[in-house]
Amino acid sequence: MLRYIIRRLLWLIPVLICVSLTIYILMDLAPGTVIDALITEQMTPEDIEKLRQEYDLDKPVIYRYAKYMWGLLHGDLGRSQVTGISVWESFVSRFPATLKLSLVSVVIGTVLAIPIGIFAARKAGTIWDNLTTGFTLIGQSMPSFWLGLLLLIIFAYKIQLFPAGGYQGPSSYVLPAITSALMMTALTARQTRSSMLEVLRADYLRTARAKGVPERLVIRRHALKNAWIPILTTIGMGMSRFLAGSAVIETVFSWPGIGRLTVEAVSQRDVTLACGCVILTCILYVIVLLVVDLLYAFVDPRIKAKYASGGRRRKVAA
Amino acid sequence: MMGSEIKDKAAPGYKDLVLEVKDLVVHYVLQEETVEAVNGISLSLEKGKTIGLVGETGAGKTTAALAIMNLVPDPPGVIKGGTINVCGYNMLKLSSRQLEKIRGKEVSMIFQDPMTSLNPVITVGDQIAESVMLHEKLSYSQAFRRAREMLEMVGIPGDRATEYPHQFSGGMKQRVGIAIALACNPKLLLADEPTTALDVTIQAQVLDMIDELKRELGTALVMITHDLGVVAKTCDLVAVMYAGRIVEYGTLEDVFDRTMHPYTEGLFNSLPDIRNRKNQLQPIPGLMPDPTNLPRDCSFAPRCRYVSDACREAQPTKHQVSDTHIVYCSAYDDSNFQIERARGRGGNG
Repeated sequence: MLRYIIRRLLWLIPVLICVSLTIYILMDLAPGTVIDALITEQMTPEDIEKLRQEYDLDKPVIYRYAKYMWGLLHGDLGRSQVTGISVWESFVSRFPATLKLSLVSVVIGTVLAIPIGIFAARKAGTIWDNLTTGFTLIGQSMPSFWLGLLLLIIFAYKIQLFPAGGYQGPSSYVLPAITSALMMTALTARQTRSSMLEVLRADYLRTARAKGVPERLVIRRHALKNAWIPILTTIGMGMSRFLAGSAVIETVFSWPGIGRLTVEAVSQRDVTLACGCVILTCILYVIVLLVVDLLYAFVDPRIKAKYASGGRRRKVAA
Repeated sequence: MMGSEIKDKAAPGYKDLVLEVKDLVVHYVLQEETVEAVNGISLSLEKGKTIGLVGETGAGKTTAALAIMNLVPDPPGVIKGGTINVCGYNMLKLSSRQLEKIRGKEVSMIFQDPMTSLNPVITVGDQIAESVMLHEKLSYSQAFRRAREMLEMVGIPGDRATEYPHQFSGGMKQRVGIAIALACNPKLLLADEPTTALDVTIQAQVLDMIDELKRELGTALVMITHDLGVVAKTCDLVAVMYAGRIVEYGTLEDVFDRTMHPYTEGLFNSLPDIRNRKNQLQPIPGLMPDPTNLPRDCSFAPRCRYVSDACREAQPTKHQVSDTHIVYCSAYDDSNFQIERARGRGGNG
C-alpha cells in the first residue's frame, strides 16, 4: 500500500511542472503585467524600464519560470508581487474559509443525496423515480452563479433573512452552502441511483433475503456497501473541486477563500501568487483523490488485496 | 409470539409434514407478455425426507422454490394461486416481518451459482453469523463462534471465517452457501442445483456433505436438479416437471424403475450408458414450449412419440398408479398402454 501511495505522489511532480508552466505562459500571453498598477503619470520611461528590470520583465518568460522553479525546488513559493506577503501565508490565511464551506457543502450534499438516490433506485420506473430524477437534472444543470444570484436576491435582498456575503457567523454559510451543495447533491444522488440499480439485481441480495434479513438491512448493509465505490468517487471529486475553491461561488458571495484569492491574483497579473495558489490546490486535489482511492480498500476487500499485492501485478490484472 | 392464527392447525398431520404445496401457480407478468412459469404444482414432504424436482432448464423449478420462500421477485413475479405450507406456516398469508422470521430459521435455500450468491464485501464468517444473530438472538461474538463451527462442519478451517468470498474457490464458496443455509438448523432446505456450477469431483463432495448434514440435522430437503444421477443419489421422492407442471410424481423406485411418463422416459434415454457406449444417445426432439404461449392441451404433445388425438384435446388426465405414484398422461386412459421402457422390462411394476 505504501508503495502505491509513494508512486501516486511521485506522479505529482510532472503534473505540477505542466500546471505551473501553463500558468506562466498563459499569464505572459495575457495583456498587461503586474507593474501596470505601479506606473504613475510622473514616471519617466527610464523609471518604467527600471521597474521592468526589477520584476525581470525584460527577460524571457522562461527565465522567470526557471527562477521561480528554482525557488520552488528549495521549498520557497515566493512572495506576492503586489502585496509582498509570502504566498504560503496568504494561502494559509484564506484556506480555512474554503475548507469550512467545502465540508459543510459535502456533508449536506452526501446526507441528502444518498437517501434520495436509494429511494429513486428502489422506485425505479415509477413516478417517484421520475420526480427525483427531474430534480437532480435541474440541480445538475443550474449554473451556480445564477442560483447564487437568485438566492441572494430572494433571501438577502427581498426577505432579509441571511447576509448578502462575507464570512461572519453561521448564517453567512447558508446561501453559499446551499448553492454549492445543490450541485453536489444532484450529482451524488444520480450516481447513487445508478450504482444502487446495478446492485439491487445482485444474487447476493436474494441470499440475504433468504436468510431472513429485514429489507432495510438488505439495502443498508448488503446493497449500499457494494454500491459505495462510484458514490465515493463522486463525493471525492466534489470535495476536491470545492477545496480548490469555487471561484464563482466565492466571488458571488464575497467569500474570502482561495478561489477568490486566485481570481484576484490573476486579475492583478500577480504571477507568483497565482502560480502558488494553483500549485497548492493541485496538491490538495491529488491528495483528496488519493484518500478516496485508499478508502476504496476499506470498502472493498478485493481492492485491498490488489494494493497489497503491489503495483506490478495490479497492471497485469487490469 | 407468532400467533396461532397463522399456524394452520387444521391441516391434517401438520406436525410431520414440513412442506405442503397445493396447486401453486406463479406467473411473471411483463408489459407485453406473461411468462407462465409454474402452472399448478402440488407436492408434500415429510420431516427428514428428500424430494427431487427434476426437469429441463425453464421447467419452473427455481421459480417453484423461490415461491416456497415467498421470494419470487415482485414485480414481475405474481403468485396467482395455490397454498404453500411450511412447518405449518401459510407462507402466502404472512406479513413481510413474519416472513423474515421464518426465512433462514424454518426454511432456507442454497443457490445455484456460488460465485454470485455471496456478498463480496462481507467476510464469510459475518455472512453466516448474520442469520444466527437475527434468528437466535445471540451476541455477535457468540454468533461468530457459531459461524466458525459451521465452517468446520462443511470442511473449511474455522480460521478462514475472517476472509472474503474472493479468497475461496468455487467449491468452497458453495460450502459457505451451505453453511449459511444450515446455520440456524432449518427444518426445510431448498437446494437449487447446488452442484451445477461445480467441477464433477467437487460435485460428489458437496452432495455427500449435504446428505450427511441432512441426516445429522434431520432436515427435509427439496433438491432441484436436472441431473438424474444426483436424484438417484440423494432423493426419496421425485417430481418430474415439464413446462411448469408436474408430469410424474412418486418414490425414487416408482419413477426410476417403474417409469410411466413419456417425458421421464425421454430423460432417461438421453443419458449416456457406460456399458453400451456404441449406443446413440436419444435426445428428446424439439424444444420446451414458449412459456409465454403455452398450449391449452398437453404441453409435451409436440415432442411426444406416443402422441394421439386425445392428447391434443385437453389437459392430460391424472392417473394414480399406486399409493405413491402419480402420472399425468392421457395415453393411460387406454389401460393397455405401455411406454417402451416398461415393455423392455416385460410389463409395468
